Parts: sequence; C-alpha cells; structure tokens
Amino acid sequence: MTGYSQALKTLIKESGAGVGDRVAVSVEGESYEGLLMPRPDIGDESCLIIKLDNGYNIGLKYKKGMEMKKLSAGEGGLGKAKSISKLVFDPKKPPVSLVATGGTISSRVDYKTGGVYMLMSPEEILQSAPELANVVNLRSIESPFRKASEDMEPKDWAVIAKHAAKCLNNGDNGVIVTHGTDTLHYTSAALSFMLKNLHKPVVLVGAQRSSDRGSADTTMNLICSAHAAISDIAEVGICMHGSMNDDYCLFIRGTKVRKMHTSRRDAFRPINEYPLAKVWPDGRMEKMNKNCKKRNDKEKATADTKFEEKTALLKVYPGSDPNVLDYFASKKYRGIVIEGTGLGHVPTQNVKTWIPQIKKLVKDGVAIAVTSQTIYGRVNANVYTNLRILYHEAGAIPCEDMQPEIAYVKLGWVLGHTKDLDEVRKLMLTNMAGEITTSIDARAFLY
Amino acid sequence: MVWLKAWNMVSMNYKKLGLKVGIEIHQQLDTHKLFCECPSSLRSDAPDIIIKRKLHAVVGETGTKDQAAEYEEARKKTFIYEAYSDSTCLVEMDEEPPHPMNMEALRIAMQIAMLFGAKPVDEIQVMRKTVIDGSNTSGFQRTALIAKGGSIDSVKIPFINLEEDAGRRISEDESSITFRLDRLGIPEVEIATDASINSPEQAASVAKKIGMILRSCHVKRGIGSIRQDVNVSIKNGERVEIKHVQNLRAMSKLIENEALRQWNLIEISNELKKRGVKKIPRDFVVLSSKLEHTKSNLLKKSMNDGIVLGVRLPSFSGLIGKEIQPGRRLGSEFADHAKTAGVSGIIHSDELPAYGITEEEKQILSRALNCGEKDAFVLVVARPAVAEKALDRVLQRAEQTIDGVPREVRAAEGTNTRFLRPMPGAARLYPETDIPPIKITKDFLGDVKSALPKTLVEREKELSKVMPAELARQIIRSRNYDLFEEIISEIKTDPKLVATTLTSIVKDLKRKGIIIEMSKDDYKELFRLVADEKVSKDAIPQIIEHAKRGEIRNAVKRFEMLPDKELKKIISEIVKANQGKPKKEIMGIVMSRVSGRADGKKVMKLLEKEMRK
Repeated sequence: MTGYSQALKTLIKESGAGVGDRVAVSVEGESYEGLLMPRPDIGDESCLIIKLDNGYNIGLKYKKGMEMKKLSAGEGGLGKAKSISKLVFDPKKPPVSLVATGGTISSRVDYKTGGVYMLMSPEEILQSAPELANVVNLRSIESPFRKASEDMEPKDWAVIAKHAAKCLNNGDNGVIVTHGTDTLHYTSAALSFMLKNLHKPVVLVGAQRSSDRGSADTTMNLICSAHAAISDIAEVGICMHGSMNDDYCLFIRGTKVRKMHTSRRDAFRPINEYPLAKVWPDGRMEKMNKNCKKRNDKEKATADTKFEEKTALLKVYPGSDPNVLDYFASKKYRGIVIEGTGLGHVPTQNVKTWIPQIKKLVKDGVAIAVTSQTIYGRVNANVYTNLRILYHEAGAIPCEDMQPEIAYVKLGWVLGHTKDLDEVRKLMLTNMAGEITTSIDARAFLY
Repeated sequence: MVWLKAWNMVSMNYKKLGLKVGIEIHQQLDTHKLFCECPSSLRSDAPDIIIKRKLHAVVGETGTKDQAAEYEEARKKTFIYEAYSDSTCLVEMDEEPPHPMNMEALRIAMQIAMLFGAKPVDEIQVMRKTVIDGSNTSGFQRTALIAKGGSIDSVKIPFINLEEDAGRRISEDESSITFRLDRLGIPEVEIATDASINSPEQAASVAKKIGMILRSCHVKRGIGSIRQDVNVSIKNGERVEIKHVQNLRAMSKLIENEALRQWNLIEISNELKKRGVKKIPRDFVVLSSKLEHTKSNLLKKSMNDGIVLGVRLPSFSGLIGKEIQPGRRLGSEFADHAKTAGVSGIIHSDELPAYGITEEEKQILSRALNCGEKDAFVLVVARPAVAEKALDRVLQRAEQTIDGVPREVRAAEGTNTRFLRPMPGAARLYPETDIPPIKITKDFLGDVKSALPKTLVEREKELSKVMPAELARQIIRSRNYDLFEEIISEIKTDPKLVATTLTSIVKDLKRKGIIIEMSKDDYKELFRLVADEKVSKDAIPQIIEHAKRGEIRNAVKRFEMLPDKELKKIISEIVKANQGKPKKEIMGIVMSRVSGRADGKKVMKLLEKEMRK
C-alpha cells in the first residue's frame, strides 16, 4: 500500500482490506467492485487501482466521501508462483549448474499486480524453458545475490567467479550464469580474466524480453546456453540471440563481446573477432572460430579474483576538460582507461590538451591505458605525430584492439596483481583471455 | 417441413425463445499507430523484412484446459512476421518497448465514449491481454479501459476500450502462420453492448446506430476498418460468438439462423435423451476391406493413400441428417469438427446411399460396425493418424449433442455459421508495465468536449434544412461524407450542389462505366473554381468525367466561363440566325454551343435581353 496517498492509505486501512482482496468502492454516486491492486510506482498516488471483473485495472481518483468495503479476502498468494508441476531433471544428462544473479531473465511478472518477482527454484526456471531437461541435468541453481546488472560491482564478479570455479571443480560439465544484460559483457570479461586454467565452458546469458510474454527470448537463450555449456568450447562467453528471429544464438567470447543495442534480442555482437559458434536450440553447433580452447575435464580451474577498484573509465570528446584527471589523481586512483578518438587520440595541441596531465599522472605511477571509442579496430601509437606524443612521450598504454569496457576490466584485474607500471604495461599488451586479436577478421566488422 | 412450421411458430416470439444478443464492434481510428509513430496503413506490396519467431512457454501459465490445448498447438508453429523497413519499426517487431500512448487516438476514443454517454475513468492503466495465436509479436495485446457506463437506446455499453489491432493473417500451412505487421498497432476502439438485445431486428438497428456514432468521429472507413461480432443465445442454449459479421443486412438473418440452430440442437438433445443415449463408445473400425470392390469414385480415390475408418453413433439414426439451419444438417457440424483434423469431410449413414456408395454397401458397413436399426455411423477416409484424429473430433462433437448447444466461437458464412474454435476462457489481463498510468485530467476532458463532433443523426437533421431530406440521408451514408464536410467547411459553396455531385453525379458516371480519377484535392479545387465563378456548375459532370488525377486545372480549361462579351456575341448571333423560333428552342441552341462554359440562368437573362431588342 506504500504507493498510495495518505487519504487512500487511511481509507484502505479502515476497510481492513489488503492487496488482492475483493472490495466495493463508491465515489460520487458511482460504485465499483473488484480486487484492490497495489499502486504502481509512477502515476497519480491519489488514484485507487481496482481490477474489475473483466480483468481491466482502472484508477479511481480519491474524493471526499469515497467509501470502501472489503467484500472477501483475496485468493492469496499474490506474488507467489501458482502451483507448478514437479519436473525432475534426468541424472543421466550432463550435469550443469546455474548461477542466477538477477536481471530480466530470472524475473517474472505477477499477473495480477504487474509486480516483478525473482524466479528462484529450478522448477520455475524450467517453466520458461522446459526443453532444458532434454539437454542437461541442472543439478544446482544458486543465487549468490540478486542485482540488476546496472547495479553490479567488481566485487560481485569475484563472487560469481569463485562460485563458478567451485561448480566446475565439483564435476559440472559447464556453468550457466543468468545475468542482467546491461553490464553482461563487463562480467563476461571479468570472469575471463579471473578464471585461470579454465577447461570447461562458462556461459553467460540474459534476456531482452521478460519471460511473462510468449515472445520472450529467454527460452531459446537458455536452451542454446545449455548446449554451449556442455560443448567442448572451453571458454567464457555470452550466448544470446544471433538475429531478430528465434532461430539460433551466437556464443561469443567474453572478452570480445558488447551490448550494441538497447532493446533488440540480438543486441550482443562480437567485436573485432568472429563469434565462437552458432548454436541452434536443437543442439546443432557451428564452430566459427578456430581460436578456442578445448574441454579437458581433468583440469581444475581456480578463481584469481584480485581486483583494483581504484580504476576508472573516461571518455574524451571535443571540449573535454583534462582537469577531470586531477580528480582521479586526488582520489588515489591507480589506473584510468581513456576512450580516445579514432586511432586512440586525446586532445593534444589545443588549449585543453590532455598531454600534460597524462604525463604527470604516469610520472606519479598511475597507469593510463587508451582504447578507441570507434569500438571496432585497433589503436595505433605511431601513425600521427599526436599519437607519438601520447604513447611515446606521455607514456600512455595503447590497448590494441580491446574495446574500452574490456580494457577497463583488464586494467583493474592487472592492477590487482601489480602496481609496477612496466609490469602493468607488459600485461596489458599480453593476450591473457582472447582480448587481443593479432589478426582482425575482416568479416567481423558490424557482424 | 415439420421443423420449419414449428420454428415459424416460436420464431414469432423471440421473447418466449429467450433470445439474448450482444454486439461487439471494433473500429479502427484514423490516426497513426497506438504505441509508435508508424502510419496506420495496410500495404499490398512485397514486404522487405521477414522475422521468424516461436511461441514460448510462459512462466506460471495456467488458464482453462481449452486454452492450454490451443497453446500447446501454437507452440509447435513457427510464426512468420512480414514488415516494411519504411512503414514499420522495431516496436511492431517487439524489438523495442512501446512508445507513450498516441494521445490523438485517446482523444478520438474518448469522444466516441462521450457520444455514448460513458464516463471516463480517472486514470487509465494499459493492460496486456495474453494472446496465444501469434497475431501479436509480443505475445499479448495492449488494451485499456477508458470509460464505463455508456448506452445506445435502452441497450447498455458497460465498457469502452482502446486497444491495438493485431497482425494481419496472410497465410497458414502445417508448420507456420504468416502475419503482416502493417495492421499491428493500429488503434481501435472496442464497443461491446450487454446481452439485453432480444430480437434480430433490434440487433441490426443497434449496430447501425453504433456505426453512425462511430462514423461521426475521426475513424477509418472501408473494408476491414470495422469488425462486428455478435453473441447469441436462447433459453437452454449457450452463448455462441459469431465472428466477422459482414454487414447489417446479414446480421439479423445470421442471428435468426443461429437461434434456429440452437433451437434445433435442443430438440435433438431432447430426442437423444428420450432415446436413452448417455455415452458414445470409442469403437473405431477399419472398413477398407469391406469396400474393396466399391464403385464409388470418391472412396476409390481417397483409399489409394488412406483408410476408411468408421464409428457407430448409437441411437443417432435420422438425427445426423436433420436440418438445423437452411442447408446445414447436424452432419455439417460433425464435418466442421472433422475438418479441423485435416480431412475434407465426413460421410454419414443418414445420407446414404450417395457418393456412389450403394444401399447394399451401407448394409455391409452397418453390420461391420454392429449398428442396430436406430444407430447411425460416420465414416472418414484419410491417412490412419488423420482419420483417427478426425473421428475423435466427430465423437467429441456428437457427445456435445447429447447436452445440447456447445459454447463456441463460430464464423459467419453467408447467413449461416460454422464452427471456428471452442470458446476461450476469460482472457488474462495484467498491467503493461512499460507504459505509465495515464491520468485523465480536466483539461484533457475539456479539450475532448469542446471538439465533440455532432453525431451523424444530428448532422442529418441540420443538413435537411439546406437540402432535400433524401439527399441529406444519402450524403450522410456516403463513402464521400468526410470529403463533403471538408469541402463545405473550407469552401463557400452550395452544400446541396456538393452533396449532389458526390452522390448522384458520381454514381451516374460510374454507372456509365467511367473511371473517375479525381482525388480529394481535385474535388476541392473544382468547387473552389465553381465558387469563384470560374467554372459553371453545369460543367461539373463533364469535368469529373475527363479529369486526370491531380490535373484538375487542365480538365477545367475547356470549361472555363466565357467572358460576358463573348457570351453576348454568341447569343446575339444565334438569335439573329434563328429569328421567329420560340425562346425555349433558342435557349437550347445557345446552351449546346457554350457547352457548360456559361451558367444557364445567366444565359437566359442575356437571351431575354437580346430577344427584346
């Protein structure tokens, strides 16, 4: 009842009714009967929401003399899942664990109130994709935390990494991580750097459409993810729709993937590299990239989760003020990734040049790594004078063909292990988890 | 026929029959789509975007058994959506959340609600109505209750809803259904009466009045822009929904025939109960071997790749052949259901001998199925799996016959109806969380009220004062009515002339086989020229006949008014050359010479003056 105005709260309280109860309301000579609904978090708080018998919700403006009577208690269970048939996984299928972290994929709508609730039990996940039982034995579903992906923090990555390593070392063929989509590619990068000696697939998956609708992408994404999780592609990757059709998913390396659209199903695209594989919901798989590790079930993975949280990601633009760097310096930041322009430029020869500040920070031991806001392509340290100034004089690190978000996660992880700038430079320029592509596939552009 | 006589006796008294009818009308509004800015126009050219989707299990999905079954069926299908890169966007494709509601659509819908005397709700909450037939890319239809408590005559219209239209079904095959997204999202207002209408004539009259009010507002015209469904039941019958009633003339006959069907089904049910039928055993017998030597071409042809499967219907003899609507028997109902399994029809014992099947063969089949004298049987010929499914459907329908009238959705077919699908359970609605509730403010309602159009009934009365009542009636009901109103509001010209032009003149030309190319703007230009006295109104039919689309100015050239000087000269010449002839004759000669390039009254005046000389 929290969303209602004081007058309505009082009216509701006096009637003794709660959400879901059947009530009769009369106002200005008109009378209405229906179920009392909670107030949506937007709109007019002095409008009472009633679900009429024909299923429609309407808002009734509070007016003096408005009366409410509780007619009968609701069926109860608002917000709880209706009884679901027990569905048991086949222990003969390959064992896989699921880590549910929140996001659209593990939420569902309560059909009465419209409220969003978390899906928790294996049975509930199964309800969105019953076909999963034909593919894997989903033997555990755990939820270390529940967060929207925009609220995710580096320490959450460590929790997922440790949990995934534990599952893999307990005999799972692979791990599926359900996750919100906004920062899914940050998490996939973090797991790529944190999981060492990985020889099994770790598949991250989200949904762009909530599972209450028949058109949800959840189902196919989950099924394809299950196929990817038991495949021999021993990589961390994101597995979601490859097109606007419900035909196949793309399994894309965790360090070469980016959310490229706010709302389309096929928002996740590979950057500077071909996808690892196309995966069809019937289990067919087309490997598209030779550069991938093979499964080896004898190996044990470890989670090396040290991460320097004093790492930042900045963007330069015409008119950008280099003094923002001073702020980070004053807050004792140890590393900054700059999204440069084009081949990796920052303003160099104008009044607002970034070069002096960068020089100063590097001298003080802060790692400055530069990527490009073009997203696609590789930065270059030599082609223009201004590039030579930035990388050879000022000491910034040119981040090859890493996209900004990936470079940010990598720098944080590297700084978690060393503060020595020479060492940092060396590690940033060493391919650790497929984040650096020596030869860029021409077909990968806008794939 | 006995039943016809009995029917004529009851049908005289619909009240006694307990006839209850409700009407449901969906009318598209003439504005862009409800939740995006795409145009609300249907296209026939080839789409350039094709999207393939599946329907997925929905968490916590429950609902009635029928729905669940339908849903299972739908999950097997692939839905193909056709779209256009230049007139559909990501919203229709369910690749982008809906935009805020089209307030122009809400304004029109609210006007309609007010014209029915309905009371707007204080806050609108858009709902999602689950649809499982694939007609909407999202898996639900967005719909909102905007007003309640309206009426038309004495019939109540409890609720008025504003909703988005569904995708347009283009084709269907065994594994897929194709929809076009040009229609998805077009705003439509839903007007549903309660079931208090109690005669077919009243239904047609109420539907007509609702239509008149809808057309007073800014709504789409033409085929497909309005859909009319009727709900019909009689005492001891069941509510049956008839989809897509084409026109009002068909409506009352359809209702009458549906009442007749229900009445006959109740009669059959009573008879079956009298005969003691309770259940029908599912004893299917393969009869192909009994018909090896048949001369029936129908059987021979279909037995090539199929079997003949039969079932006994105990005590059904004489009832399957009973006519329940003009030209439709109980057997037709069985066939409707069998067809949903993929057969082209059924053969039943009441119609045999027929189709080349002899009386002797009928007896053989009868014995093979253990039929007694009062029993009937039904045959289907198809592949074994299909045949079995088809007979199961027949059996299901036959068992419903014992109870009387099944609740179902039927499709209008001429003035009869055929089975479409079982009546779905109550649709599940839940809030559309992507669209914030819309507060209906006093300002908004003030706007709506101030621009409230006159109803067509009121308008007809007004127009009757400036033109003959019959002409007013015609123009109000004309397809060109909107154009008429536009012209007379924009151009100072005689409404009677405009009405005559847009009704009888246009009709006459069409009757002569002339293809009229005039656009709306051409008509406006024409009346502007007439108003400015650049063109004589007498030339209108000829101009319309010859005008090429968009080139009204060219068409008019030949008919531009003659300057007075020239006109006087012509008149003077003709008068001189026809000395002594009566005025009427000379007038005729002048008018044919100027052929529409002078106003008749003016010619007469000048002629009289000339002759007085």
